Amino acid sequence: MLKDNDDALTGDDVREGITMIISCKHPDPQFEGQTKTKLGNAEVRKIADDVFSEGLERFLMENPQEARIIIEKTISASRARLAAKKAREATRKKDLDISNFYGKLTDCSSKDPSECEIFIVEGDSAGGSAKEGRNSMTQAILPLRGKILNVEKARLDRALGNDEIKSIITAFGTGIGDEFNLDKLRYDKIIIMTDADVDGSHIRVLLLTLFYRFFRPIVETGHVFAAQPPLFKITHGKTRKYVLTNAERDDYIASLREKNVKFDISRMKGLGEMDAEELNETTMDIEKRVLKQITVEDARLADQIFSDLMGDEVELRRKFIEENAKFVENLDI
Amino acid sequence: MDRIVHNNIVDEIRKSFLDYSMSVITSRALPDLRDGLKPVHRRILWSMYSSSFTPDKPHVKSAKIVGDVMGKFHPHGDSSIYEAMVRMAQWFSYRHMLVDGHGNFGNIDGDGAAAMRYTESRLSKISLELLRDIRKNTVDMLDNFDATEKEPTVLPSRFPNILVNGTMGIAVGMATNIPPHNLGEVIDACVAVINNPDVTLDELMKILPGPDFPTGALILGNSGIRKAYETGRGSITIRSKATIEEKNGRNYIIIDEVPYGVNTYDLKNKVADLVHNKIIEGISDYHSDMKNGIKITITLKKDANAQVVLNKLYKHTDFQTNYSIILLMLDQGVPKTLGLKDILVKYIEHQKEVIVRRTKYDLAEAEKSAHILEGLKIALDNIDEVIKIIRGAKTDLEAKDTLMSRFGLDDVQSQAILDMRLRRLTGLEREKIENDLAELLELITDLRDILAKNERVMNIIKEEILEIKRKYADERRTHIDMTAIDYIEDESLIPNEDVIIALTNKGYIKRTTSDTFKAQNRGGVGIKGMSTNEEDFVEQMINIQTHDDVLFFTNKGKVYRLRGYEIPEYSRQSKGLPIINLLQIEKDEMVNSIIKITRDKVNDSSNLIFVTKSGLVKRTSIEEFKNIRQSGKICITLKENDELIAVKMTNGNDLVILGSSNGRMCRFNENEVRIMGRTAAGVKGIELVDATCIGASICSEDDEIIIVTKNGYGKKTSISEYRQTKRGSKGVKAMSISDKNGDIASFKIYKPNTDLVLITDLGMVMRMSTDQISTLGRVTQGTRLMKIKDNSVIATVSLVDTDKEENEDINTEENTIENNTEPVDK
Repeated sequence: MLKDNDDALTGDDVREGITMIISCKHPDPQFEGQTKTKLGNAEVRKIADDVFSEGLERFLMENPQEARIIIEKTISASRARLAAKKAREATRKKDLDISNFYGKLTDCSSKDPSECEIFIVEGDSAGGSAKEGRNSMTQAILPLRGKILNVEKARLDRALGNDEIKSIITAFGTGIGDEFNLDKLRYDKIIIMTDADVDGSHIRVLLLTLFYRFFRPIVETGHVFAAQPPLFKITHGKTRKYVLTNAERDDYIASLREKNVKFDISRMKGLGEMDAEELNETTMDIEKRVLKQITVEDARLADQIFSDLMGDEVELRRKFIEENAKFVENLDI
Repeated sequence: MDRIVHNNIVDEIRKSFLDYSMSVITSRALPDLRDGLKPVHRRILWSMYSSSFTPDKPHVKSAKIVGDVMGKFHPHGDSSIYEAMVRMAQWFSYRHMLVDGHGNFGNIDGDGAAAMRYTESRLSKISLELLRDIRKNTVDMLDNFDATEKEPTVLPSRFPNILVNGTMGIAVGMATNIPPHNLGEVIDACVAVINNPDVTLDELMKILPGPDFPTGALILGNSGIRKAYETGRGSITIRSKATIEEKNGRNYIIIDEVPYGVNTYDLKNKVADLVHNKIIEGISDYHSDMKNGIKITITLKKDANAQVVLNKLYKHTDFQTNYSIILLMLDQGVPKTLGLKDILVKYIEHQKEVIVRRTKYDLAEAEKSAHILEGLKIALDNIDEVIKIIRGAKTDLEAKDTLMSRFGLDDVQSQAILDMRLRRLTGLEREKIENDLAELLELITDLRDILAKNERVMNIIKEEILEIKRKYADERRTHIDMTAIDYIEDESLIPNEDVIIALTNKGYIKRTTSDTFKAQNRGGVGIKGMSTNEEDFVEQMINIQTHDDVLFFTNKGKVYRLRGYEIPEYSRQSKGLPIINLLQIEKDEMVNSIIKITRDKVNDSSNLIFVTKSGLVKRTSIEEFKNIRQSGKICITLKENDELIAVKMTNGNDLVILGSSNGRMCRFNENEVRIMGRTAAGVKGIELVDATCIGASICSEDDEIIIVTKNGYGKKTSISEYRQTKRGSKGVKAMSISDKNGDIASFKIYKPNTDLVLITDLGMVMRMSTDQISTLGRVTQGTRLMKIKDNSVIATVSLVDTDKEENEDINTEENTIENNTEPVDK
């Protein structure tokens, strides 16, 4: 039941939640302390140990089903212990002076959470221009490498051992699980900024899964946003015009045609295609950008969609794809 | 300030997930049915072809190719492009390599290819067959990502690459795993489908018996192949090709072909692991040689059984693997799991389209040329006038116009006349133009005929594909072994040994080797067979071989089976393992009879006789118990509150004796119970009046019977005193029952050198030699065997062999361990 590379179980894991009563008759009991909380006769320990271990061993052998239940309980206690340990470690780092925190986070200089935002950026190649293009007063940048772990499928302790996830937890400052505290959130807006292609969509799904499972109150209180990088670039002469939607593109092209201007149009694929200034203007600048706020309307439905699409069962996923294939909008070819 | 739009997380997830998963399915991970390529492969081949990195030119740096592909067609990571290209150049990955690589392209030992700045590549010859005719508008071309290039949506694929090279891919919610096949066989199968569209799968499988891996090896059986070809999914077992050689008294296992996709480096580590953990014993050395293919030499220890070691290697390592075939591919952009024939039919449709489009293209070209030649011919026929017109014209435009109006030519024709060289005016050239024109007209007629006749298109497909077969097909490498069984029975890994199975009263079981009990000299003290918990004792010991089956019958009327070797082996002193860990029995279910059966024994005429607490008996042929699953089967259907109390093996003419709690014995011939099926309920064995049946035995006239009552009284009586009655009768009185001695607890058939063990319901145990029990008449009360305290009664009575410690003649030991079939019941 325990895999080779799993951590070994400890006595505490086994004893968690168990109370034991030993009935022992001794002709000459010696107690420690006035309150008689502890029996001082050393020989009793050995006798109790022997009797108990023999009896327990026999019980476990003769009742494999019960033994299995006990082991399962112990393993789950062990996993909970490891997860809690990792969660503690992850949050403890935030107590350090943030300037000491080295890692991928490029923090903003303001310490006022109500005006700060953090951009979670897909890929190092876009992280650089985001860093240059940001408003360093209020905008922090956290670049992620490739696809993050799907926390719906991974076990908690493994998820917490993942570097990308650790840096997100540390950056947010809220802690997770029992120690989660929304008041400690260090940013007002958490902005997912991924490429406008299908892999970007995938990373957005993975990040939302992480947020919804580990930081649900942040999502529920409307702190999570998706950046809207432009979909098309229209160049004419020396002008570059970025537009967000098909409709906007068509309008703009129509206006160019009226003026008889020659133009080129291209579909934007990655954030890295823009230089820092363009990225700022189109996607990051508070005055010009459009943000998509992610809201939760029906928590039960949201929960369902995450477990269906991101969970262990392939069939549910497959069914969803089959039923919805005709609704697909953006296909990468 | 921010412009903010709102989006529900559910919609966001649904949309983004759908975009991603559909893209992965339709344009990343799955191959197109028609050319068997994923987009990345198609783009690599197309890019190499359009840059002319063809087999007739020198190799070019791989980095250049990857750069081209990435910049022109495939805006994704460079490593994924390079890795895809490298695989196409590996002999062990592709049955027919599509890329001809130069330099280190990795090996089957798991070493990767050199970096792309070192290696060089070009298209392989057979790749040209995938691309052939592509310039003749045979396939649709689309803009690339920035509309600066055109790329094909599919390749003409003049051979069925989808089957020949296969592919593997994981999309979202679905995956594909198509094995490679032999080119010649696949082509023959195509031809068979063209010749007879109603060809059956069986007929196809005679031509194309199964996958053919570049790494050779063996496929065991063909039922998995058939299933896959029929439904699109199936599983096959691939086994390494191994030979056992003997040199200088040592055995060597030589393996020169491993299953497809197996990395021999991992294989070596796995073997090392197994040797280290003593899962496989008998291997002393492992040597692998990569020169000229693979050669793995496993040196065996002198005493090792080569076949057993090899079987263990098959079982525990990738020397034998399971390959699950999933024939999932894109058909018109939709993922479909297809059977073999569907694939072939759809591939042929694609070829038909290619040929029709090519013919149309050729026709248009020929018509164009004929048109020009016709113009030239007119000009040559009137050459003097033509020259005059040209000389007389101020500009070429004027000359053209005049030519057009004078001879009724069109723009293209008159332009051709103007472009004509003077040397065309020689007599020979003129003749040539006429000949060319005649040829072209003939060609045009022919091409039009092709377009009009489907069977001509089909014939062209056949001819051209057979030509590819002639040029490129090679011998099948993977042998399909129809005789082999694809799984390895545990048996072949375990030597058949004599062992002893011991089962205690409380249900602890263990196996010990027979030689644990070494023969001692006469008069030795003997050794104890098993240590037990305090109130427990060994109730049954049977001699079996590890390959024998042991049946376990429980009070709930169920039977379970274990192979001898499935019972864990323990040392002589150990307590063994509670049987509940081995059988899926319930908590209150108790094993009360164990019987050995030898599986190979055919036409076994033995029967089993079942006796229940309510006095029912049933006789069933042992044949019905030869295939009992481990999860158990019903061996007798019991009424509510009834229990199975005993199972005995009989030879067909045995005497059965049943006892009731109120002191009656019914003895009859087993023939009076007709043979019934496994789940039957049985017939009445003894008529009971306010009593229960407490036991059954097989006996003979000369036996003595030991009867024990609940209050601890007992006696021995000769069986002959109990007259034989009929099945279902009340039987004869066996003992005087009174308040003093109490009801009968149990009875046993006396055997010398045995002990009687009595256990009370309070757990008091008493053991005595059966020889000490007095022999008394039939209607007597018996003598006190055990002092019973108030309110306590005898609960269990067992007959066990006299303990070895007390056994004087150790040499008879083997005999005292009951040889199976006659277990002692409770």
